[in-house]
Amino acid sequence: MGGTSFQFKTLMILSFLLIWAVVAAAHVFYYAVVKRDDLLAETRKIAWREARIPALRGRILDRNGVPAAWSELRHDLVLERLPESRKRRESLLQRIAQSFPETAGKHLKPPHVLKHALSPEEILFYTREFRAWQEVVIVPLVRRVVAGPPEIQARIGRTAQNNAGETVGVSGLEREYDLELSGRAGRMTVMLDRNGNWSSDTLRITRQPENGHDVIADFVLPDRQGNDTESGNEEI
Amino acid sequence: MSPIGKTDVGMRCVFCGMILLLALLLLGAGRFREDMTNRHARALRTKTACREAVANLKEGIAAENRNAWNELAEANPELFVRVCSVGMREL
Repeated sequence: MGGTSFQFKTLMILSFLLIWAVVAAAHVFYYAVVKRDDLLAETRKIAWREARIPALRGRILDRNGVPAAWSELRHDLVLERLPESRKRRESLLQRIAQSFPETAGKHLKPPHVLKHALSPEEILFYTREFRAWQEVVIVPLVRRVVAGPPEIQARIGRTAQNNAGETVGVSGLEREYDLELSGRAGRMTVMLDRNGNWSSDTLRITRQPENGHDVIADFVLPDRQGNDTESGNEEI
Repeated sequence: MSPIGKTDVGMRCVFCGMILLLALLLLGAGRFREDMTNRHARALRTKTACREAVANLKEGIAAENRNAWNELAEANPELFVRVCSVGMREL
């Protein structure tokens, strides 16, 4: 009697394990084979992002090879938004006040530029300082700088951004030689985690940026008198 | 004391199972190693591509910062690609 009961219990346990194994295997098969493509596509949509790597517009040089118009890349540290949670918001503002005492007690309304024109050392420093805060970002800006007296600046012309976010010449030499001056932005893809952090293992450069070509104009710049101006607001 | 392999069918099955398990473990280890090697090679390729991308941008950096840019971008290429990237959107 006892032996029969033991056999029955053993059979029950083994049957349970067998059923469990079959169900688990069926699940694995379902997700790994049947639903594989759909799930991969869904994951790709949720997690993968594509971004542009800007290319620099070519320079306009005078007859002697002195730059008369060029593009400058700068980086600003920006508070893009405030966290929704009150505790986290206070913690972030406290953290910002530690790095920027002048902001202490002030009502910061995002987007708020915390620091303009970061040096490469500062880029590294603030990236690490605010690593845990997605709300504080380093934003790149490309500006077109034009040198020389007003009449030469008028000849050089201006640039502006089109609907696709590309910088194009809208007047003067900038427009005339737009094809030569324009570069081609690069492309990259990266996977984000659920907090929006980059998974650096997944970073891929899918296309390298190609800078525009320099153009030599027929004028000669007079001696520099510090009257360079920024043309076209090329924020990117 | 008789040799177990010749008489005991159960033990033969156990041995066969152990050999099979060992073979699968070795196979898995081989695949894992191959995957790690591929991942390492991929990471190196990405680093090189990132260095090239940020090197393209150095002409736009103010002259006084260009040396620091070269040095730091060489050491942290992914980070500098990140701070230069714009227009992030879903694929």
